[in-house]
Amino acid sequence: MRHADVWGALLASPLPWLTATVAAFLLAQEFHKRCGGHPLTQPVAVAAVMLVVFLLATGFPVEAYTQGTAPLRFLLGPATVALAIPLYERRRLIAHTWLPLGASLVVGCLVAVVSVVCLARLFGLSNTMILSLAPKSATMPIAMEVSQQTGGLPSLTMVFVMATGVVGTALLGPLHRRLPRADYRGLGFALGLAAHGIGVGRAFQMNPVAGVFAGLAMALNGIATAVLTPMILTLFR
Amino acid sequence: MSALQPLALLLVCQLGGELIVRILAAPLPGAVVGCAMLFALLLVRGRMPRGLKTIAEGLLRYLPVMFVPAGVGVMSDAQHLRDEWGALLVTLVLSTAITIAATVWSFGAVARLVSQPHETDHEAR
Repeated sequence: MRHADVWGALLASPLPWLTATVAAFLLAQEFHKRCGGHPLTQPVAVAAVMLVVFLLATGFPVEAYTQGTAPLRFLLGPATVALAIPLYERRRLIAHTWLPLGASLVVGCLVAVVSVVCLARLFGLSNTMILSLAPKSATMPIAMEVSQQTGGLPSLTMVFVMATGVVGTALLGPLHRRLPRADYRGLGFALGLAAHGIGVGRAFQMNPVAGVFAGLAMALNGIATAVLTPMILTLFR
Repeated sequence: MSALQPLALLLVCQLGGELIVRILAAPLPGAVVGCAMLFALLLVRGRMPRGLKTIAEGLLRYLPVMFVPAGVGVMSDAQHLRDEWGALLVTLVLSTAITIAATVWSFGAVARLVSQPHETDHEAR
């Protein structure tokens, strides 16, 4: 068998693309560690840059890469279902605090989606942008799925979700000073609701109670965003 | 066989969610309905099946790797972002600030209304 035949068969399968993706991510993670965890060296972004450079250098089409990595996208589904486990583990806390949790979940989710849609319109952003921005506070797998269903671009939504996480944690300090009456439960819940996984990480650094409430908020707001976003977008059409 | 059960449970819930969403033509991701189904199932059963937590933690830990292909997609098609990044950034900062403030405020207001004592520390393990 000639070399070309060997590679041709392999390149049509997901194996080389998955290997390249995992390898790039591991390298990017190591780079992130070496840079002292600097927020601008997010492993996902660095790994994507490495792969884009690799694709450009070798001339492989992006479509081949996208098709080859479809198995990774499939895993987002089971990962979303798995959000039920942290929720189940906090069931007593949910039952105990259900009124403030439920009220601020509905308020927070509505404000998150409506405010970003209104502001994006105000600034004259395109319809695709607005649809891709709407679920930006939800956890990544849910936000990308909602974006896909409502007519946004999941890849754009991914960038917005990440940016929202970074922005949310950066805003925590200034907002905390202006909200002197806020307790750690409310602050943590708000951080997880507005800034998903990145906010949860920041909340755990602040206080363990805040972290627990942030984790709850992330899972609950994922579900709330999935339910409410299509309705809100219909109202704003 | 038993090692496969937690994985089967996740997939069955997702499949059930996808079926429900398609039958009802609901504008919802099937996996989100699957998540609600798994939560309800766990509540009814009253305990966590062995191995489910391990597989869930594994999935959630490797979540970032699943986003790399989307990152490649956005970088190979970046002119959208290049043209409008200023408006996008202002939109995201303002919306996120309003969201955090509204959530903190409504949580605090309702918590004071029902005047819950601040005794959640022992529960929040």
